[in-house]
Amino acid sequence: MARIVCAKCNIPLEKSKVTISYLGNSFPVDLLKCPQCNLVFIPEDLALGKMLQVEKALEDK
Amino acid sequence: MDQKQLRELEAKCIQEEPPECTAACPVHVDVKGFIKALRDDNLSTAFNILAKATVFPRIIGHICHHPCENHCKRREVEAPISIHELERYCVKNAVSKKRSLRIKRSTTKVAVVGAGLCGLSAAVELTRKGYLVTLIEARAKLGGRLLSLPADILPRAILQEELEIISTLDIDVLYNRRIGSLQEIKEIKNDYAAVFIACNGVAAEAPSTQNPTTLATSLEGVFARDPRIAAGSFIDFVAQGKKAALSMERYIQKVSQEAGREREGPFATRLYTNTAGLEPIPAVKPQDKQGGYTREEARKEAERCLLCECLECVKACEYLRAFGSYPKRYLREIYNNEAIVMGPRLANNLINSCSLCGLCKEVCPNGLDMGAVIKKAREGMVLRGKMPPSPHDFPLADMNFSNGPHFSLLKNAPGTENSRYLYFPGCQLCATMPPYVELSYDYLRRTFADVGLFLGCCGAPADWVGQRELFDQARGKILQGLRSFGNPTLILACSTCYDIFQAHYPELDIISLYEVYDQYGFPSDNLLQLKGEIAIHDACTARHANFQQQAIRGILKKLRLPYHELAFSKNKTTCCGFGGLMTFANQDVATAAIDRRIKESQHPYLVYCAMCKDRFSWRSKETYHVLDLIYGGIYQEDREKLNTTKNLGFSQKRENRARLKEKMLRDLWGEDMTISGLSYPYELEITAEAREKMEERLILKEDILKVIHHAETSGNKLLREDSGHFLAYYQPVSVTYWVEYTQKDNTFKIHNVYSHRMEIGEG
Repeated sequence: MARIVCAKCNIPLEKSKVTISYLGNSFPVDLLKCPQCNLVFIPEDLALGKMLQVEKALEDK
Repeated sequence: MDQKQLRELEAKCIQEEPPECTAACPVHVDVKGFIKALRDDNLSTAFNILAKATVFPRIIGHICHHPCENHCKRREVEAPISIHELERYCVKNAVSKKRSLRIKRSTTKVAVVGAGLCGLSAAVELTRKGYLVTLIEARAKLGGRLLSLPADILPRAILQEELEIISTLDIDVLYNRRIGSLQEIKEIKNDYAAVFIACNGVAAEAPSTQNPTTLATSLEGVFARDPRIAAGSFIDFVAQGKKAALSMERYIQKVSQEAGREREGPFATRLYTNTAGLEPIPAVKPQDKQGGYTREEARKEAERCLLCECLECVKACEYLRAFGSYPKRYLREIYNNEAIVMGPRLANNLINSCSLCGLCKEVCPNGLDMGAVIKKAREGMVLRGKMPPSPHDFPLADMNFSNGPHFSLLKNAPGTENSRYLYFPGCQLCATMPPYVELSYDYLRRTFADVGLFLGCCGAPADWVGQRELFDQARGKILQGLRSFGNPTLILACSTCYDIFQAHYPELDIISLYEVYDQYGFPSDNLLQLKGEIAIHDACTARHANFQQQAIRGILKKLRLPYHELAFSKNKTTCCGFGGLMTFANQDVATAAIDRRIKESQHPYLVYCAMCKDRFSWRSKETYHVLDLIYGGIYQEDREKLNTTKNLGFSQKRENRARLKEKMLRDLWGEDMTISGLSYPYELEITAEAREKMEERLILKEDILKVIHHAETSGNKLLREDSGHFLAYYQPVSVTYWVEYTQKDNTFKIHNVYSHRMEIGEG
């Protein structure tokens, strides 16, 4: 994966813990994030892979 | 669904009923399992199946009088499966292992009089049940009539080996004791808890069998073989022995003699097996009549077996097939899905993937309607707050759009103040073939004069997915509108609208647009010139709408267009995959359903539902809507446009509805459409790949505009250093959309789009 830069702050994103949640369930995950403005990057393969799996599992809970 | 309803529904699905051969067998040999094992060349499994039904499989395998064969379904076209010859092959060739007969222990003593096949069977069964058995035989040998059978029918060695079981069990045999009188029977009864008279001579003098179900006699605790069993009916003797053993056990345990024994002997199965179009295959005769089948001959004969089962619905429905089982199992899964308190609801996808088309009910021998069950299950899930949002959010938002200011409209015809009729073309026709809406409305006004126009959605999406409250809201609004117009007759162009109005608006008068064409004729100035023959695909929502079906055929006759019926047509038509919102919940099954339908005929299809046309065109099947035939002449120079729906995306469909409303308002009533709302000052250039992803991932142009607007106004965007593409995300309601784009002046080139439902929180 190429380097992702925050276009607003003009600094590279860094790996950081971010809380994501769905249907009342929260999980801390390691994501790339702008250390200054907190803008997060969720790559396509994560959104359509693992994340989608977890969404479906939570919907069936 | 409660337990009682579940059981009633389950009883309608007969897939687990035994086949005719097994039901006709007095000891219910699992013939299907037996034949399957032979097909797999698995002799030991086949042998064990026989051994499960009778304690002397190698004897019975040689001498059974095989009543099963008289009931074989193959008999409908030719000779039955040679079940007996296969049995003989099996017992001759299977390596006979010492069978372990698991035995419970008890100190209760029982007696069996007569050591023929019947008495021996009873004695072994009783020993298995744990009783101490005394076998009383008039002669000096075991076997009775079996001993006098010719050796070429029952080889002596086989008989001796099988009878050795008696000596390995703890059965006390009293030889040379002829029981001659009633008095002697009474004396035996004094020493034993129960007695079974299995032999002929004594049976004649003994009290005759009083009850064929239990074999009980008038003597307390004494049971006797049914004297009516014919001498050669060997398998009946085995069955009588088993029956007596069960009755004696029940007698000793002081439990009901009769309960639950309805299906103990031969019975009529409820299994239905469709033999339509069954090809005759001649029965395999063994080359060596005496020696019986060779391995190859046996396998060939086993291949003739139909392995009888019902599966009528599973064979007809791609959805029921896709989940790998059949309704009886599905019902249980749906029931469990409702009943579960903790843990995953495993049947959610099963429940949401059905098209509710009702074909299962039409083909089921007992009329089991899985669609109705599934619709109820969906309503229950919604009520309990357990309906997953992802399958239905998008189509429900689409319904909301259609009933919102961009599309909904209710007006009297221009220049009139009353409407005897209201034309309700439906949201999908307006989305996919808007010019035909204008032309058909023009036709209706020329035919009836006072025809108003009503644009909106009938509420089908909410109805299909079990959103009762949402549906009732939509219904309330429609009723209110209609009431204010004096409840005119609705003219409907969509079979789904027709179905919904018929079911949920019984107070309204409705008529199909196609019935109007059929009765009043249609304009001939824009007819489409078609060559060749077409096949009619009836809409699943018009399954029972005979008038609509007839009207379509009437129109084709008037057009002198040759047509033919598909194998599944009219009340047995299939769904295109849109019904029940199947395509949103399970794209794979929906695609399999339409692809299968396409294979039914090489000819172009004629449809009368906008979604059917949309779906067929999407899969590149040449398909015409009935309105194409009447008005498609407007595209005569540019036939490609007839298939406009092929590449029409969800965004374009919405835009078509809004534009249609705008155009009709302006052209017919001279009004401008004024809608307050955000319009965005951006031009989009969407790459072909991104366009494809938008459709697959249910992302609208409007969603993309919102993301860009958010990114460009807030500055919140990322940059991929390798490609120089910007990446931005925005969550307008529940879904977060990601857009990858580049910008040149006011034009935004869209390279990629995706979405997720997980919400991004704080670090």
